[in-house]
Amino acid sequence: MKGLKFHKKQDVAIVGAGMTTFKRRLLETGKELSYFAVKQALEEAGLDISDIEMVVMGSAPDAFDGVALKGEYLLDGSGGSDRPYMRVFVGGGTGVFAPIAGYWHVASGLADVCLVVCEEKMSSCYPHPQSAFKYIWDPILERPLKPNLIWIFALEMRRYMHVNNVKHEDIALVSVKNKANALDHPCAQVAEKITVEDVLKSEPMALPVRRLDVSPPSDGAAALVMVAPHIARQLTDEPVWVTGVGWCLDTTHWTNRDLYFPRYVAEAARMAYRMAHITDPRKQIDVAEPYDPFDYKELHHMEGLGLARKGEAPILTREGVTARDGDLPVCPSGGLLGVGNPIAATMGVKACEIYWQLAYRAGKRQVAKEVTTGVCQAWGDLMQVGTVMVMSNKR
Amino acid sequence: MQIESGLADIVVVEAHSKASDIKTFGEILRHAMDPIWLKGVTRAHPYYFAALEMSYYVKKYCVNDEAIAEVVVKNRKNAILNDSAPYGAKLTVEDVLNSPFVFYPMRKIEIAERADGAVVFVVASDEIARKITDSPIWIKGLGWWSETSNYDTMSFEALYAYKAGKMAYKMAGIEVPANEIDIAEVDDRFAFKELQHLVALQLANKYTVGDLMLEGHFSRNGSLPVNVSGGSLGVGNLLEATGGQKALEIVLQLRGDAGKRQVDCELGLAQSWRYIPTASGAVVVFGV
Amino acid sequence: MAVGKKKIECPPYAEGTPLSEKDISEKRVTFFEDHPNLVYSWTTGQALSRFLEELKNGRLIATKCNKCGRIIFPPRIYCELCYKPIDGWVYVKDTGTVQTFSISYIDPDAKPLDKPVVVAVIAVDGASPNMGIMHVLGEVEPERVYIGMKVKAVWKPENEREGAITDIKYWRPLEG
Repeated sequence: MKGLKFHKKQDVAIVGAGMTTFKRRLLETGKELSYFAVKQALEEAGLDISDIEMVVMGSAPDAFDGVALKGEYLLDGSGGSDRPYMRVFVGGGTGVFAPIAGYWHVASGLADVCLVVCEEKMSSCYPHPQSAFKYIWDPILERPLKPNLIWIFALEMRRYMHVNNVKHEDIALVSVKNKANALDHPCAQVAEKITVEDVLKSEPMALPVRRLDVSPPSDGAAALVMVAPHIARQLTDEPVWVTGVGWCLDTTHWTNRDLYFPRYVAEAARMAYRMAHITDPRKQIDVAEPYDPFDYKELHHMEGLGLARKGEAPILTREGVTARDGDLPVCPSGGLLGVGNPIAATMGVKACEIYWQLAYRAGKRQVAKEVTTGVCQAWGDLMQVGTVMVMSNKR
Repeated sequence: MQIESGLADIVVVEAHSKASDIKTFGEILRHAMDPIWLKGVTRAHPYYFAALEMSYYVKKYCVNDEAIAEVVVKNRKNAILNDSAPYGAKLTVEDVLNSPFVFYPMRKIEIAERADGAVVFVVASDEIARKITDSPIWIKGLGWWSETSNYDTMSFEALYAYKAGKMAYKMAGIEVPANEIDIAEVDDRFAFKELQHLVALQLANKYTVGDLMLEGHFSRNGSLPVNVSGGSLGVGNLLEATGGQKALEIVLQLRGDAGKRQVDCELGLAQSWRYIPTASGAVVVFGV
Repeated sequence: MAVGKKKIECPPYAEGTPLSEKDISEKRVTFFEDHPNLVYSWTTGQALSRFLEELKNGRLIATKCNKCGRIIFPPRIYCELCYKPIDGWVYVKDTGTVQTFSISYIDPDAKPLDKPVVVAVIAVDGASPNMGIMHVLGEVEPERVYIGMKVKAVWKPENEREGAITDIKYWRPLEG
């Protein structure tokens, strides 16, 4: 990263976003879901599909929808017919990686208007999408042991708790916060008022992970419209600018790493912050949406993003700093724990949410304080990838 | 794009194929079909998709069998001079025409066999490129395009190649491709596709492309050498790395590193298609 | 360009029609079922081929990189940090330390197990710090497992070994 000058051809603004509801099973096909999300995003932006020059689709493993070359299958629903279209995929990190790929399209000058769509249809994998995760494991070293993917998270959670001396009660507070936040989100799947007790008594899956620590599999889609400055000017007085992007992958040999700290998120954040001229994230970031498929992950990622020192994230949560009316609201949308986890379509509660917060259009979810800069982050593959995007409503 | 957005100065691009690990290739291709419309129709091997397209194309443009056979003959002969190519062979047009049909009107010999391989490129910004080497190969233009995912509304005329080509030519400032392109590597994983792509890329006229092929216009010593590496018929179907192999050949040729296959050239084109059952493709124009 | 400054109140509006498990199991919606037959045979590559051979002999082997000085386990033919070929093979012990662990109540299809499985990441003795593999623990009560516990591999009898990671049945605690 030494010589990176970040000299782009043009700035990139977001002028519209949309998402479908997130539910365990939806009737609509993947194509239809993409269409709904795109329709909303175009409507908010004030554009027509003929204005879109290029399309980026983000969608996680083909195994869920059950269609190989899934990108091709989804292309007509997502507006990709008869234009340059590509699909990107970095596992769970796709939710923020797809907008980053959209960023390349516009910042490089190749396009002035780029549509970013993410879709996921996990319910097609019947009876339970967990079965598709059997194939993420190394076929020689790991699959013969018949692992369930929850094992990795449990191993990571245990390590995090051990090194930072954190109790499960403090981690459960995240689940309580996010599920409550999600009550204000129209698309939420598992919003509810629960207590720390409920979490600690819920069904054990792979200890220390219990059922209420986990986000559910979902179907859903989300979309964003990214444009060049001269187009943004014509469309709105209040575009939201993408000021920094970063992504980083760590090794597939996850057993060779100390799991208590996500250094791949820290690296990705370093790149994004440098681009966005952020030197003190804790003070300069007003609102954050880190990836929270598990409650401990929100804490893990907060530390990776530099929003808290190592081991400090549970303390901030306990003190209410990360609540919607706190000093650093984290996951005001309700995140994956409250709204749902359709892998790539989580863009709707990460990138789209930060956009809506910075545009002051988040309705009941709007955070109490004034916001200028926000960060969204996603994570995925085999505990490998961190993708980070920083946005601001001031250029 | 990453270099042009200023995010990086040097980017490494990798593509590989480990086709030999797959024991049920047909099933995987079938898995890419629309599950509601197409998949349940039949359990036959999906190569029939290409055969349906071939049937339409051949009838519409009066392409004769010999021209398609010549594609197989030319490419597999070219592959003999390519050390990386496993399927080099000395065939005649009669050999091809006498070989068995597998999905009429397509013969088994017209379908590229699978192969394993990997290709890596190091791409850099102009500032860095000039510091690292005296002879960088420049990406003059690129384009990619998708038509539609629905099999019934695809053009069957490689429209994706036409549009992707147009995008690349515009970026490269090329007005009459047939005159300006010196060498081309186009997707020939089904032999008739080579002819179809050449027309779509504006490198030949749609009614005369077959005659030009038979006259040797596209052979290694011809006016516009096509698939000098042996193409996919000679090098093997490298699945997703096919585009990488085509680009590699053009880069080697432009650098003068193509050994016994060397052709004199300054501007080359690499094109590939996303295979069945899609209508997407990409084109890159390279120059010295 | 269809330009328009739109004023949308509070996005997003949630479109989509939820279904329940009953809708599918009681066939209230039409659906198409398919069971793709995808068969693969993975080559184990240069490094793991040797690793699996050694497993048959009841030994664990790693590779070393002289540039960064790491003993890399599981073995690979390149050091991914120095990005160069490795400099040799080294045997490591079949004892190690538990880095982290979990007690699992579900199987790969998310169905409940009869008996919980204790899975752990074990840093193997003889390799560089943190060079762990994932494996299961046995001969121990789940409540007694802790991070830092020393364990030893329990092998299958020689005639039953096939050259697979399951040639090690499980790892048991060294003390007591």
